[in-house]
Amino acid sequence: MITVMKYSFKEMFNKKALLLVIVLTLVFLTLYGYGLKEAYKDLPRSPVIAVSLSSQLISIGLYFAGLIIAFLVVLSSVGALSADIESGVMQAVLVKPVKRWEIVVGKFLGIGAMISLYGIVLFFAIIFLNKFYGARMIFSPSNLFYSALLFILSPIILLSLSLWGSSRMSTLNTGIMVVMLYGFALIGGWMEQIGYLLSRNGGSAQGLINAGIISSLILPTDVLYRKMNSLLFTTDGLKFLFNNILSGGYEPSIAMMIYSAAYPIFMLWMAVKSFSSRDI
Amino acid sequence: MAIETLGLTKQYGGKGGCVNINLKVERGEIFGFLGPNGAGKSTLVKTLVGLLRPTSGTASILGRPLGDTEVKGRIGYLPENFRYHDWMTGLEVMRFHAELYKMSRPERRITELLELVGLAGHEKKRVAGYSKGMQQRLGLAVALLPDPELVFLDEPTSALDPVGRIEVREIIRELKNRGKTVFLNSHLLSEVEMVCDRVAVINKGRIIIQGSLKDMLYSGSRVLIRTETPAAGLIEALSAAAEEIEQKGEFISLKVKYREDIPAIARIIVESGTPLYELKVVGGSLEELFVNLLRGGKTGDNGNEVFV
Ligand SMILES: Nc1ncnc2c1ncn2[C@@H]1O[C@H](COP(=O)(O)OP(=O)(O)O)[C@@H](O)[C@H]1O
Ligand SMILES: [Mg+2]
Repeated sequence: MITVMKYSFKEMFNKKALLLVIVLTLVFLTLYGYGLKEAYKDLPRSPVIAVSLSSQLISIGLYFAGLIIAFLVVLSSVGALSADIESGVMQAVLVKPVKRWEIVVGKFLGIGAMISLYGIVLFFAIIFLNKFYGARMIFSPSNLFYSALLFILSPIILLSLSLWGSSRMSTLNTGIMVVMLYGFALIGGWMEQIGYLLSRNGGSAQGLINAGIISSLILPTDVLYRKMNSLLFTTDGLKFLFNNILSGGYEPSIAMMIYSAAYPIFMLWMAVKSFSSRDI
Repeated sequence: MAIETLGLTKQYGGKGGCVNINLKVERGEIFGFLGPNGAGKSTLVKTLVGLLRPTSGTASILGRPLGDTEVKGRIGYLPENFRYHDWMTGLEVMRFHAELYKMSRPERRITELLELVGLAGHEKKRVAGYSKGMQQRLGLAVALLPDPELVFLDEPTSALDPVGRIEVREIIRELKNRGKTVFLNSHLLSEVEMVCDRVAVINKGRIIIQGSLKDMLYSGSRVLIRTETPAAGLIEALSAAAEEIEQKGEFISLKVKYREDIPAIARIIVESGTPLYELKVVGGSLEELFVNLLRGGKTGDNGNEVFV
């Protein structure tokens, strides 16, 4: 298993996908940094508005960083098992004295390690850029730590879904499924936010909220982003977060958090099960 | 016993594959599994090495049931259609597989094998740049990494030039000399004929004959005998050891089942007092035998496209 993990970690370095994502990240960070520099240059004097603006800018940065990492996850994992089966690499690997579950778990850990590393670097790059250009925001170390954890849990969840698809479907079909469900979760998240904003302003939008909840159950990636946001901007019980469509006051429930933590474990188990019983 | 299968069947949605395979392969033997394209050879080997789950039947490899992890450390497998991670160099591929085999100090073995399969000097190149033949050589080196007791080779020379084929044949013979068991899949009669002790012939998923090649050859050939007028009772005496006896003038033609029957025939003739001038085996080229087998009766009708 260690071998499989090591080599799937290594493999990512040798694929063009990672290079593409690194370039994308650098372009994004440059643009984002420039935007921050301009935005923070003449921050309004009112502390409330200054803090609000800072939190919004950070939120948006993390939102796009999340998209980039999701892109990396999809590129690196939809073929993790299926592409090796399709190319014939798997035939020579599976006749070795390794159990099939070791292949699945090894791939998960190898790709997961790389993605976590990338996610952490990106998370702190964004926080750093904001602080550097003068964001009016104070983070406690524990808040940063847990937020970063939530920030990388989301791509890990996506990875587990993708591996499950890859364990039983072709690379192409897995890619289509993962991208569709990810988009669905994203839009579901917006719908839930809009529903929440409407209902706070006296409207009734339970339908929108329900659609959001259902999409979060299918793939709880967006819900983790919102949880991370609310955690990041809560200091000493004071919440510096303002509602918009990307992030808002509607805080995910504890049950949803437990569900999100159990989700990748369940998916991984399903992937092991279907991979162990399939013909190669 | 290296391999033993009992009614082993693997079909794809009720079609194709191989059906009701009963085989016994002894340790130290080179066993040829011969059949036209699409006969079910690769299906059987993939089932034996645990890539495919049998539809029904059982089998054991080196005394253990299929899929046993410990046994996998003692077998080598060269797949038919495969590739190695093309971002690795040949050397890296070898190291990766050595790690999968849990070999502790593989470097010497790796150098030795790259030398053996003729890839020395190419090991630092990426596999993506390897020709099909070089990939097949690398595959053979990977299959031999743990010095396995049992090696499955699925069409090992399909991409090789004539020199490469001879080299592989030498490697197989060398394995036999060192007491290893080899299971060789091939659609090439000549290849099997040159190295195998025993063969099984498969067509349309079913084994149609198995045994030693020599026996098969003699079962398909006729013995032509030239005598003076046969002594009384000679024909009757011969019919105990031979079949399809025909007599025309001074010639007797007959069929025997086994090679060992030929000296017996000679003895019967001499003992009957008939002067014997000539005794020779005619016909019975392997090609003829197999084309007949594949065309014959219950079996296939596409046998003519193979065994060249
Ligand atoms: N994955 C598969 N799905 C469906 N049919 C298959 C599959 N693999 C092989 N077959 C069929 O099974 C038969 C035997 O194939 P195979 O074992 O590859 O033959 P061989 O190795 O003797 O050329 C063929 O008719 C082939 O079409
Ligand atoms: Mg084949």
